[in-house]
Amino acid sequence: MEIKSQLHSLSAESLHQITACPDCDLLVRKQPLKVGGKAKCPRCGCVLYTNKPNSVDRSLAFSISGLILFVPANVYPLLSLDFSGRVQHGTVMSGIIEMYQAGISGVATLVLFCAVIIPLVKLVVITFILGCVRLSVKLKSLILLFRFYRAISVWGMLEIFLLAILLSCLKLIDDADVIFRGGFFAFSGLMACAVMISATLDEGYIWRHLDRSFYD
Amino acid sequence: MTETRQLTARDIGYALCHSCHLLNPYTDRPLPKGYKLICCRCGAPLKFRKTRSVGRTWALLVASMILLAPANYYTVMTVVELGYAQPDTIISGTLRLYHSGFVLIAVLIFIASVLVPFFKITGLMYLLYSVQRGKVRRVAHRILVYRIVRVIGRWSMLDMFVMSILLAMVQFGKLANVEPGPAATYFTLVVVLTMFAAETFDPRLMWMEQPERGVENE
Repeated sequence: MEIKSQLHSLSAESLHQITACPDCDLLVRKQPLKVGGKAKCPRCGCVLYTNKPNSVDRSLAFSISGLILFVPANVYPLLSLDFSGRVQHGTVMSGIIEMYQAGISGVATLVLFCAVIIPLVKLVVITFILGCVRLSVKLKSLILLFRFYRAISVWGMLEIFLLAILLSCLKLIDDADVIFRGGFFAFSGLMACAVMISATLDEGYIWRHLDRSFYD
Repeated sequence: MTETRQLTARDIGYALCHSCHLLNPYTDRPLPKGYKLICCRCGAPLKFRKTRSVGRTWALLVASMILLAPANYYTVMTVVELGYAQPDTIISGTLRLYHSGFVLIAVLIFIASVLVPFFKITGLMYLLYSVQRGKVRRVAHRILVYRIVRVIGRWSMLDMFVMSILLAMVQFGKLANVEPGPAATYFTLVVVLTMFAAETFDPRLMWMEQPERGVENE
């Protein structure tokens, strides 16, 4: 269900019922949404707010699963390469360490952040926020944490890293035997969790909750 | 249908918090020293529009265009196989992949490393140009360009991730080895700068001070 409602007149008492489009600044009258619905800007089509079903529980489930999967995805080898008898294992970190040793520390640092640190921080932060919301724990710092989560969100690049793993396999498979190891499947699951968190997370709901818990 | 300008938050002295999407009263009048307006819900600083959006985006774009030259001129990766070193730039590496039969990889790497940066830079330049010229027509088309630029930007990192995995996997001394080249750093900088450029561009500028076309769907 999509709601596209435009504002034609303005009066003081209606101010709390309106919002603006983040992309084009158009004022839009807020309307209640059916579960699963989203409201779009009538002018530019930007999604204004959503009503996702069971948002907190579902995102929390995915974020806890993601945290669990993070450990095997980064500890165990993703792939093993059998190059005429010599076997080489590769983890996420070993590639980054090789990059540091090869002297391209800038690239290595960015890969480290995009593929390991930011996904981990995102998982920890969102699990903590959702856990607090779920248990109705009121903490002022949650607001700052959620702002931080939104700011770093775009730098988590697990899905791109997974595509890179698959591409490297396709390339290596010609010269050597490539064996998918446990780490690869854990990493795939981790990526799926990260994608599902962003799909199920209803940011508007979290903000309304954080707002309430602060003023209560 | 009459041509009326649609009401924006700025028109009525309100600003949308870009962190939590709450509408806040706002003014751009100078405040006494030490005061600034923040969102009443999340505390993020409020602004009508992103600060010096056009200038900053231009600066980042020019910087990334300059860096594109060394990123494409120097070697990005040297593959050593049976003692024979094969240095490659981004373009020559993609071509080699293509000619060796890795068509799918070649196409994806070409899209991520060549087309995406090219589209991002030209797309943002086009948006900046139309904002500065005050072009108002077909703004729906330009918001699409803006959204594509934002979505595809991160995918340029693909090549760097592939290189990191190849470095980890192909460690067989003289038999087979992979060494990164200086272009990797330049290319990474291009990716980071263009991602920041997409962030600093304010799409709301595209609608500013313009009479709206008649609104359909009413």
